[in-house]
Amino acid sequence: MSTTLLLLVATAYVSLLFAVAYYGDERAEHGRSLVNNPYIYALSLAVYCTAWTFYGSVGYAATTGINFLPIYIGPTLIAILWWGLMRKIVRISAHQRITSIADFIGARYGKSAVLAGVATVVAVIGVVPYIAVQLKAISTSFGALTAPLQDTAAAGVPIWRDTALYAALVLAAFTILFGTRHLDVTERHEGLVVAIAFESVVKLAAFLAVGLFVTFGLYDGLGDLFQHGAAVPSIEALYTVEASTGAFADWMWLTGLSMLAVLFLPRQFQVTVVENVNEDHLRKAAWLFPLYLLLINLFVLPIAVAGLLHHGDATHADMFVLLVPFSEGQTALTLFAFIGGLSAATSMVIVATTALSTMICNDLVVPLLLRIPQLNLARRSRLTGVILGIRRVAIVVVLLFGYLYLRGLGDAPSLVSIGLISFAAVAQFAPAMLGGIFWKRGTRTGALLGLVAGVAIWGYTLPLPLLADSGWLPASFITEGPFGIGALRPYALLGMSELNPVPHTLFWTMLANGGLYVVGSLATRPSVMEQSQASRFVDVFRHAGPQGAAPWTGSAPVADLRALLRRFLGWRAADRALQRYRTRHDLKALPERADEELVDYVETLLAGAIGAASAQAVMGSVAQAKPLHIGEVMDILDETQQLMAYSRELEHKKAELEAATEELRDANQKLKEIDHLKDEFVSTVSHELRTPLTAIRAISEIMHQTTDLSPEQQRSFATTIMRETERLTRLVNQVLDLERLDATPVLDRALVDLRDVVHNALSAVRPQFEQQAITLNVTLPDRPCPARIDRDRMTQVLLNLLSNAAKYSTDADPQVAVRVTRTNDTYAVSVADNGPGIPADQQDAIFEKFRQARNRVGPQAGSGLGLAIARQIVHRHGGTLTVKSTPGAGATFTVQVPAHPPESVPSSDHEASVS
Amino acid sequence: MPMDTLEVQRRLIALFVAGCMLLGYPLLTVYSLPQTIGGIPMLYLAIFVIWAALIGASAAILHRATGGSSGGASQ
Repeated sequence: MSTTLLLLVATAYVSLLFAVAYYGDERAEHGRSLVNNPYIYALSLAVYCTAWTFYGSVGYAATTGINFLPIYIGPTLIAILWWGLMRKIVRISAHQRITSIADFIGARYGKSAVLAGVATVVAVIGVVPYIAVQLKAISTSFGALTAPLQDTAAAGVPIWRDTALYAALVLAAFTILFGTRHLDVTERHEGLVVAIAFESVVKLAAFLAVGLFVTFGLYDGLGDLFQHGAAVPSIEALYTVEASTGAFADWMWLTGLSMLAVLFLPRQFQVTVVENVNEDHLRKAAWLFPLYLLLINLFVLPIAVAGLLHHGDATHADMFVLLVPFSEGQTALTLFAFIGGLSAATSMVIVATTALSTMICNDLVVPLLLRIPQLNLARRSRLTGVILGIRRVAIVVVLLFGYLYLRGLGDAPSLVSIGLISFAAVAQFAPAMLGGIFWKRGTRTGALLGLVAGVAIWGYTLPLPLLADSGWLPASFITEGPFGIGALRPYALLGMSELNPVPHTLFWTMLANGGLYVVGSLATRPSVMEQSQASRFVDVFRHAGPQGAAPWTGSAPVADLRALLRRFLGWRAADRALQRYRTRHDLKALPERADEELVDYVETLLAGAIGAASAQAVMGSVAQAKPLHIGEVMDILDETQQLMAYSRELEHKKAELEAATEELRDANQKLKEIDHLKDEFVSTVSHELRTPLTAIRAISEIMHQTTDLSPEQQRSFATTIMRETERLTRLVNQVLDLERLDATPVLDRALVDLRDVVHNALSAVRPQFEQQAITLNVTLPDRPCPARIDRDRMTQVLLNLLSNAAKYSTDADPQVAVRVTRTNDTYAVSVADNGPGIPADQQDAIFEKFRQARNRVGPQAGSGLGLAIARQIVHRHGGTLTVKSTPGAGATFTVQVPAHPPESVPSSDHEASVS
Repeated sequence: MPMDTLEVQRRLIALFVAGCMLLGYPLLTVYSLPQTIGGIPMLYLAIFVIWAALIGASAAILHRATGGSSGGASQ
């Protein structure tokens, strides 16, 4: 096939691509976006399928059978989880205006510029070889058709005749044109996305066309094709997998690796997250994208089998897609296949370069420039141009870097192996990314340690041995290890030779990366900024919209903010953005000083243009948005402390309240008891009153009805009436007494000699004692016994005790002993009888109202109130009234009252005269 | 009938686990037989059929998902 024809076709295709991209941008500018469509979105995700898929899968299938499939099955499986996982990443990125995966990681861990920078470096060294592979595929496919079946090594070609170089330059031009047309706060490139979707259609159609031609043109359907292949043992071996070869272990590792790759490859992040206009598109894309993968892989094995049948061996298996139709003389189909391969390679290069240039600019160059004070970058009037310039230079540098890598590497590794090396590199983002969106405790230090360790091991175990393959390092580096240290052999670290190189790397890097991420996170405390960002990321679904500003964002004059926005976004975009803010918040005019929310809004806008870390730095240096000073931290802490103190106070109050409630409950209980006692008292009193009344009434009736009563009988009845009446009077008096005591707690106290009180009482009862022939023994101290007491009341107490003693003197030789003794500060007046005594279980009860010891029956039944009254009087004096008794040996009642201090006796107040 | 987000998530996770099992070791060894069906190798056929079934099931579940439209990702 002539070189001219191929160049013509290639040029025509690239021109068409430019036109499509231009059309996409035009539509976007007129507000009729093509991108706001789930099918375009799903097709743009198919940028996953590169020249590796288009050419490399067939080559790989021709040598290893179905082992090319895990790379597509992994994304299919993880896409099932996209509705939860990817939607979260998309939502976070929309809120935070994330521009790249490096920006995402940096923003998550406290807007760390260092982390974002490291992630950028990782992405660049991981992806550049991948870009190189695409360039190589373009030049190889070109070579395969112009000089078929010759060695197509790029290394031997002079540089000015190398197709790869021209491909790189054309792609650089395209990317600059559509990847950096203008600086947009959303970092979206509609024309570019439309072009990528278009390329996805082309590569799928081309591959299916070749597959259908091979299957139905050359053979009689799939079954026929496979049966032809089965006749050749080496081909039949591709139909099954031998379990013993460890191929299944590879299968599992590669499935897992490609799951991570489709999430974290910079170009996938670009199309899936950054270019996403509506997260609902994920709903369709989550199954359309796997469907695309299925379709493009359907004919891989058939083409491989047909290629092997036609060409005999797998030497040029990577180019079977072109060579099979070409050798059949199908020029048109061959050209279509060539275009398909071109579209697969170019789409990857364009998106990857765009993503890398954004990263290099936002997360590497701008933060560095901002830190060079001489440049005074933040104060330049127009930065839009500077930033776009940086990106354009980055695009050219990345592509040239890729080209140089290609020339330096020669043709040693296959498409697939370089691709897998890139996959393993971006898999290093997995711990920081997945931890970042699900685990709040992950810290910057943990992420940084994990990422650096993972990349170091990756570099040592995958790309470095390639240098040995290419002759840059001695071959013994791989076989014996550096300096002959076997444990450091790059394909068998610590002697682990079980796994193939890629699974081997994946195991060690994930162990080191994930392990250090977790340990490093737990060993360090996140800063305030990290905590704030962690919660914004992890809890993104809990908040309805982009969250409000952190309380420490500070404020700034709106004029400064406007100027800042204009410098980075240009005048029009800046004014439009502020206008949007005004409309959204329903403000007539923007305030003179921006509050925290507006400051946060501006920072997020800037983050969309220059990355989160740079935006924060710019905000800190230009507007007086306060970076977090120690003083502010203290303020925040103070606030927390005040809150804590307040809460403690509340708790204290609560405890007090509880105690009060408890007291009230007790009081209420007591009141209820007292109420109950009162009822009981009233009923008892009524009962006690009724007994004598009944007796009197009965006798009066007898006297009234019986006319012939003898004088003795009349007398006897009259006596009974008198006695009962007396008893009634006494009872009523005592009840009144008791009530009076309850009502008037005041005693008529005076300083008296206790001995006088005893004498008074004794003289009152002496006639009764003599009548009952009771022997009275009185023992009184010689000295006066001054006490401040109510003389009448105390006399009443003693009278009660003495009459009780007389009442129960049933002994043949009744004796009552009255004794007054003085201990330190109390007087004890005891009245002892030798009556029947009181059982121990009733000694308390006798002091209760209306209680009488049941077995103490005497000639005169008392009211049962006397002792109750006596005890109450004594209590009022601050003394006690107790009883000691042995049943059968009498009872001793003792009144104890406080003694008056002796020294105060002479100088007593006017009451002293009473004694 | 639309499902709430949590229910959709549960089903998708179950489908994911099933997919990992069906397209992973050791179940793959079950399909890796020398037999052919209509001339097509068993392993090749089994993988693509399971693959298609997974896509179908995923589409069916996601079709019933609600709540996506409430997202604020678009401008």
